[in-house]
Amino acid sequence: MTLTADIRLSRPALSLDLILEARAGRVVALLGPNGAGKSTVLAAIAGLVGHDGRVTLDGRVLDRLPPEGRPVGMVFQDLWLFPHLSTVDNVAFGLRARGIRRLEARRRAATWLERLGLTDLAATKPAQLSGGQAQLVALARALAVEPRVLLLDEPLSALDAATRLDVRSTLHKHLADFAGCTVLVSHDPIDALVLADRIVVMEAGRVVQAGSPGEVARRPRTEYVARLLGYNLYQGAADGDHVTLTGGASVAARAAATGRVHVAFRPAAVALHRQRPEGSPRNVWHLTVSGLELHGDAVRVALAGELPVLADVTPAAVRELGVDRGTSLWVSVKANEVDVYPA
Amino acid sequence: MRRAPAALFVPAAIAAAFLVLPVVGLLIRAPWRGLPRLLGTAEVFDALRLSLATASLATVLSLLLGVPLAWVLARTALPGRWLLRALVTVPLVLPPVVGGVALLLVLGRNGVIGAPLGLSLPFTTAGVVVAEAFVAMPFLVITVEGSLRAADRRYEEAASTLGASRWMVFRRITVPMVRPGIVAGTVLCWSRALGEFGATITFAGSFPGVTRTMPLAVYLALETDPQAAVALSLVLLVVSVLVLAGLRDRWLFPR
Repeated sequence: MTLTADIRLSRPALSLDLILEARAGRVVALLGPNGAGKSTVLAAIAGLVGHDGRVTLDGRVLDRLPPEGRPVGMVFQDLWLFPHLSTVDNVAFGLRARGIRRLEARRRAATWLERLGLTDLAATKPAQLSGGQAQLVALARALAVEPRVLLLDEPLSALDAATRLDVRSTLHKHLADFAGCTVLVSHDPIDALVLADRIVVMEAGRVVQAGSPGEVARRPRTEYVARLLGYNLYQGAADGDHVTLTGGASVAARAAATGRVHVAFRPAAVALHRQRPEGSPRNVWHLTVSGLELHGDAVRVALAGELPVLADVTPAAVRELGVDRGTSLWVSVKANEVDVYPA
Repeated sequence: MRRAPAALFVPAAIAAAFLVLPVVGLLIRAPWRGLPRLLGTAEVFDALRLSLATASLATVLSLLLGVPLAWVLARTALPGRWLLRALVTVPLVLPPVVGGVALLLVLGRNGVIGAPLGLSLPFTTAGVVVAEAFVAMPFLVITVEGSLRAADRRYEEAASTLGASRWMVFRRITVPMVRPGIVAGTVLCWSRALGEFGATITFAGSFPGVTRTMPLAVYLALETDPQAAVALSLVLLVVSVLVLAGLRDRWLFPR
């Protein structure tokens, strides 16, 4: 199953011209600055806004179908849970719309609430839900109709940092179970890096780069992508605040975790040294410079060895350290700068 | 709280007195002792029953036709929609007597539509309902349309992505969301229909038990038995106060 969205639209304030492809069981993250038209792309796929391109699912053109006729589920940025319906009736709504009887629809909705750990809230009205709970109810409501395409618009942006982590890992789990195509819109690179199999970055209505999270992060093609996705991102197995990366290297993180995790830190958090640094940093590696690039007023140094690392340093530091391709340097990162996300 | 300037306070006090005193006067001069005798007659009972029945029927008619009209005005891109809105609100500003004359010309026995269809609405209870609905429905349409415009359409979009047809979206999402507007519009419409005089007497006449509603009875009684007129007015006042009590959340304690 493949969703191909060729979205073309020309309005005074917004013009879109991009092709997006999503495969079954995979998550595509559409990243871009605010106002880039990300939400409009989703609305066009859902049939809520007209456009001049073509959206096909397995070769079948969807554009002629009204929103209610498309096999598409959507979680809106502002959720739009129906305020007059209880949680369970919100989730059951789509099933009722498909002609399933009330009791059966409620039963299936209750199953979804159970899967998301929301059983206790079945009778609650949306106004009484916390941000994280409401987000999961909206997810359940979209998934309950078993869509073939799932569209998520900034699913984590309204949440506080702690809730975000929880909801992100729940979302990750359910996206992994979802058999259809998922398109996730975000302006937060971490959401995309952690949740997506593929990243599409758009600027001013056009795709500027697409690829796997690793590729895009390591080889940013535009200034914006470099700044946005300039993350050092790894996978590994956590044991307490210690993570053993897939490549064998080991990283100390700021928070404890267990099992499969993503590990991330910003290039700006990386320090380079001629001599092995003394003192506090718990992450120290001896690596070799493999590339240099100027990004804005910082130089992004790519290092290779035990693990690939990107470091942002000042041009002055580059001169002082005598950084050049092939130079061996000591690289340090404070554990406090290293984030861990459950995979 | 700062003191209100006299330039505003004095006219405000006069306005309040102007609006309150007539009602107080009605209560003061009401023939309380003779009330059972004055209101106990068959004519009064007939007029009250007729008024309540016709106003309620006119309101039901307005709901069945007016809510869809409000939806069309608020939710569709019908060409010339602004003109349609202007036209349907004309009865709101039209003197009701003129409305009655217009109804006679169109729905009367020799009317533009009445004649070919063989209608005989004038001077029937059905005619009363038509006259009241003509005058009162715009109140409902305007109120409900306002609520529809204020309601966020993205709830409806969310419902449509869940597979709901436009009719289901209307029933299960739109109507519950604009319920306060529908209730307010219904109450306004009903009280306007209950007090309808000009269009009713012009189009339906004043036959006891058939088309003589309370306002008509009050007007006629004023010429023959003023005490009865005051007593009947008192009944309408009670009904109006009950309506206001029904709206208390919206009007008496506005947020």
